[in-house]
Amino acid sequence: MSELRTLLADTTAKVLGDTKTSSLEASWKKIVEAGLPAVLLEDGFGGNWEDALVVVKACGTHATPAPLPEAILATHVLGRLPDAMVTISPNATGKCDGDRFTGELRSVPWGRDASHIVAILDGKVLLLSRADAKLAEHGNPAGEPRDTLRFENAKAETVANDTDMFAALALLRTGQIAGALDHALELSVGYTRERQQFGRPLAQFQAIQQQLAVLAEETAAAGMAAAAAFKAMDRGDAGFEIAAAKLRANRAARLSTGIAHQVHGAMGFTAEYALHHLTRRLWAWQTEAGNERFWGERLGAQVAQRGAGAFWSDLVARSEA
Amino acid sequence: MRKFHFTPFEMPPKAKALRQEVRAFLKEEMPQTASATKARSWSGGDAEFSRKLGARGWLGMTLPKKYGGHEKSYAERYVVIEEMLVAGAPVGLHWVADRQSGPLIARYGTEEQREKILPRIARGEAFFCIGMSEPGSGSDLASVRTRARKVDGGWRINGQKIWTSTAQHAHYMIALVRTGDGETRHAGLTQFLVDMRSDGLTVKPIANLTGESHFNEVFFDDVFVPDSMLIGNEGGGWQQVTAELAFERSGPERYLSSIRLFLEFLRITGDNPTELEKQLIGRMTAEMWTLRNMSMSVMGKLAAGEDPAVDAAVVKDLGTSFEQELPRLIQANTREDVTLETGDAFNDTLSYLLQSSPSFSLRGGTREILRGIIARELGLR
Repeated sequence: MSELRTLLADTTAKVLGDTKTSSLEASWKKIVEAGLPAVLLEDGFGGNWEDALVVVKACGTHATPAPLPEAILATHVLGRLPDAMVTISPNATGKCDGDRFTGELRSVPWGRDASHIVAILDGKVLLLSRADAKLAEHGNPAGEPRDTLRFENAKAETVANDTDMFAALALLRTGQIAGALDHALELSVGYTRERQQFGRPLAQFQAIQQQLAVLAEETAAAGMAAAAAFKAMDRGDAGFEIAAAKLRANRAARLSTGIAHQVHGAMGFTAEYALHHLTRRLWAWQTEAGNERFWGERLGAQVAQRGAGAFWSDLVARSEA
Repeated sequence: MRKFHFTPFEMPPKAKALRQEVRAFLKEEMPQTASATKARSWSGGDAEFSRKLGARGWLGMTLPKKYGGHEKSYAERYVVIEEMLVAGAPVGLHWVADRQSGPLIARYGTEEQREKILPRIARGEAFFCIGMSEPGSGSDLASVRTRARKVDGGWRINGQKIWTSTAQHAHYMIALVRTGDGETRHAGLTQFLVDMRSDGLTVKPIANLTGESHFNEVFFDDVFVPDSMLIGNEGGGWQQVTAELAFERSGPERYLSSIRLFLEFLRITGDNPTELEKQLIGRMTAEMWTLRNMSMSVMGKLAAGEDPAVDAAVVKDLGTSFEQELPRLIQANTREDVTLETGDAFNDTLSYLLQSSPSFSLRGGTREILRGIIARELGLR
């Protein structure tokens, strides 16, 4: 890792670790002060998507209760960092009439707390003010806010941009899944080394060892998928990689949450123990921004369309210029 | 706790031109090969084909030029072997020599061994087999009992190896045998270069469940091996074998064994797949994309002089689980007119891979052993 990226990783870990128990307002202030939402901005950290992964992954590792990955994306799309909390919507429906928007934004992370929301409609970026919306509060299984915002003839700033917001969110969730799995593995290894049954630590039982090895393998696969997809963003079109990475990360999350809970026994099922902060998010994030069925169909259709003769050359062409 | 970091590896610019060269060669060499034959790939072999690869400079690619090698990068070798595997080329005869015996001799061998053997590996003229497993030593490799006794000018080997792939075609075996009884089980093991034409050495093929014979029993009845054929250090065999495994376990052959069936599935599905077929194709594509990235990442570590033995175990377990699951998943999801009856390219490929796939998670270290290695790295044992 480059020196700058190591510095970014250290700063991120410190800020996200410190703000775990603070109010959202207080932690957001620290997050912004550290420049984390501006990781991709020229006049911010000036980083590339591999740098962004460092921050996004850490949000997964720390189960950060704030829309930092979303703010990174919003900031990138806008090309600037708004003063107050900004989030995104992966789903915008409605219509834009000049600079007026009437319609609905669904699944808005921390919609109730944000001051602005970035959405994409008909190939245009909309920047909307939360104050103009009628809010319906919803949440995902991890309790993260996923709100619905309705706008009636609201003022919208529009900028030309063709970002696929849904795919970009899938990329972010892939990074978060990889980070959360890292931590779930660490907790599982730590717990089974401590917990004694039949006069020895659980970690000494082969049945446990074999399960944890699979958990480590799946964690590695999700980490690889995320790293390769974020890297592809820096090269340009990453549609293929995002589809493949979200599919693989979802599978890793599906298999790993089961193992992490099994080796933790009843303790992992309590509200007090930290595992559920990770696993409940891992369950939520598998559905958000496309489950395995969604991405499987999309990627499969694309591959089938190209045919058997093109499969391999298409696959390798994506890793060599 | 140790964490596994797999970082993306970017192919160097010259990889692209080399890949085109390899593809053109393969197109020329394998115009009419049946799909089920291609599916055999590194389980099939053709001495003439091996020599042609040698002539093209595609064997022993990373070995020093002074030993007949080509001093190419690991990445360039990777390009060649993945293209061979995807094309289903008959690479089985030289596979072991090119993958691990050559690098092992280059690293631990004597000058005489390097000069004598490496050029022949690079020309596709010396084939190797790996003498590790024994009737009483499968996963528990350190329990090998085949023993070399010191005699004047060399050693006398007595005992038996088993499950030795391609022994019936190989010119040499690199045999792991006991030369002493050390303090630990791992001490007292030594690697020897054994000429397969030696007196007292007998190879007996074992038919596998498909009726084909790839693996063998190899009997040693007082086989003489000169001192000059001891590899590396006497008693250092275990450490040398372990170093070999990173080469053996991370390559593209650990996830590509069933790609021929995937391509056949794409062919019969055509451009109008059902929703179910699309999903299956999408998921398998995502797996292959991830595994290729992981496998190349380990290659990058090998190239950088690191020892990624445990990362290689991760790649092998994930990769072989995938290539083993693929025929079963495809069987479960084919259309009703697929019968598995012989005489059809798709059926023959599926039928062959269903039957051969149990070996994928056995050869080169079983799934359970690999997971044990990973668990140790996690600090669990």
